[in-house]
Amino acid sequence: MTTPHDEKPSTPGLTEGERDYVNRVAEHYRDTDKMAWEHGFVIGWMMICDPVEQSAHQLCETLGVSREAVDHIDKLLVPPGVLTRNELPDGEYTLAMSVDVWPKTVQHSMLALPSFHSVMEHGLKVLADAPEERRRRVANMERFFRYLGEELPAVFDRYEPSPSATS
Amino acid sequence: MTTETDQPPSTPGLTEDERSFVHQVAQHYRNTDNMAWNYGYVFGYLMICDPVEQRVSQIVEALGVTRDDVDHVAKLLVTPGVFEKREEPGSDDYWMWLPEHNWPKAVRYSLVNVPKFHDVLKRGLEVLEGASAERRERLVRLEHLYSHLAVEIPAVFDRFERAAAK
Repeated sequence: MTTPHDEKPSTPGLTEGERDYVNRVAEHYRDTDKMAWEHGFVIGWMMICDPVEQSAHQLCETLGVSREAVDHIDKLLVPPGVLTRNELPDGEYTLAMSVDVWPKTVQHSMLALPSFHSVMEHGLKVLADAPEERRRRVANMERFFRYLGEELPAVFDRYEPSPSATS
Repeated sequence: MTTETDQPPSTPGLTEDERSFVHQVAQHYRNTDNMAWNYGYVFGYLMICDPVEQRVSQIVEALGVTRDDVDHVAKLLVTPGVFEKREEPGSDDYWMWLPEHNWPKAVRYSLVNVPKFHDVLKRGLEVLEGASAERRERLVRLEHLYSHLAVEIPAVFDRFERAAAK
């Protein structure tokens, strides 16, 4: 969420090249989701940090972001499995980006579009006798997801996942 | 976030049919994003509620969810411009609603931006040139997927727009 204090963090622990990349990721999420700079910087850094696993404290120091920003990303990306969280004995936690969950999640959500479309069809039945104003939201989604549900799963018929990055 | 105690809410204000729809929406997000039931119920309810604009207190009552749940969904979907929100002057209640075109618009926007995101990932691989395979692997896998999507997804929308223009 953008706030009046929303600014790019200082990234004291990053090289120029790393900052350039992380900044581009943050710009992307700002553009598509109006995501706060700090949140985008955490996501970008989790994609390229070394070592892969970082404590919340380390993330704050390296990026110059607030603890709340790290906690927010923890809440956002641990449940879908994109980030893995490990508890440390001192009450601290670490985050690490899994190498294959993000690509799988993208694929999974696109393959799930036909089933989302069926949910919208069901919604139209439930609202069969409702006034037009009430039905419009679901009607628009039903139309849009009907098309995507037919097209996007086919995109993966033509896709060969990489067996491993190192091969 | 799902927990062991995570259960679908009681939805005291919904008809059986409404509940069946809202439940299916929540089920979908549970399946794709491991989303907690209460959040998914708020998503689904805002797609079909009557009137379209609802006070937070009304949503809490109709669904049997908590105020925190509604606040979380507001944070999640008002920010990217899917839901809209209006403060109620002189109270901490607010109104939230789903404008009829917003959901498709938001999905479309993030999909047409796929080629740009692919460019960002390519830049990342340049930055990590010479880094260890372990460090590069997250990006290598994502870039592999997005190099495919960056070609395919714009073609899907070209066809959609040509079909819509007919």
